Amino acid sequence: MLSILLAFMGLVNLLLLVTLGKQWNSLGKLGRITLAGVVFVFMPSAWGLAVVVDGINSMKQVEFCDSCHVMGSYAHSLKVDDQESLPAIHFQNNWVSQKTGCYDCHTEYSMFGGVKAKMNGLKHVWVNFVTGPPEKIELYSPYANRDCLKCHGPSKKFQLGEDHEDDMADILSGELSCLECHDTGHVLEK
Amino acid sequence: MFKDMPPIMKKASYALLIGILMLGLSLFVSGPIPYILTMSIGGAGLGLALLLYLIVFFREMKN
Repeated sequence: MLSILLAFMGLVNLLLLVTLGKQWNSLGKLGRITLAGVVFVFMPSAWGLAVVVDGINSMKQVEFCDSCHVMGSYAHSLKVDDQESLPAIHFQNNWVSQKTGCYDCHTEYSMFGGVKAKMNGLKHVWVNFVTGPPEKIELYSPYANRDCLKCHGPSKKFQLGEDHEDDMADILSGELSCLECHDTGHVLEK
Repeated sequence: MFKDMPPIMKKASYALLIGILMLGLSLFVSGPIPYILTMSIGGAGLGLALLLYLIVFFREMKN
């Protein structure tokens, strides 16, 4: 729906451009500069920014990640019938968005996490289409606890869990990884 | 379409036309390569159009 609206706005900008071109001689100096300002500066800046933001948002979708062949098995692992697999149970129980599951878990929970994810995404495009993907795909750094705790941290189940109580300080500081105990990641097809 | 315009505005208009069409196209494509291509060509078109318009604008202001 938003795409249609943005396309319509682009069309309006095009129509204004054509009108400006056709009426150029009949407009006064001030009229030309003003209309050209709307057509060349105001409309494209607002519209262009909205299109880019919409594009960036659509890159958060699981199907976008899945559009690279190498990610296919990871996207498929979200739907496997395995109640031990953390990605699968998070995805299938709607604990993360069904639309943006990859982005929800694999974007650092920090001020520039989204920017870093986009920069890594550009690197991934280069690797996927130019140098070729590595044989074994690994995270850049060990999965950070804060990316689990952004959701689980405030939950009573986590805070009052007997297993967590003794190690709470280490978990919160990141010294003890969540994956030490909850270690079932993506279940990939062989 | 833009025949009455001065040459520099004509160039700016074509750059804007290409920019709008390519960015418009980016709304309907999927996959990383089409996104990057349409967005970068579209963004370059809009940027060039803006630059050329600003040149004309400051020239007009001078006169």
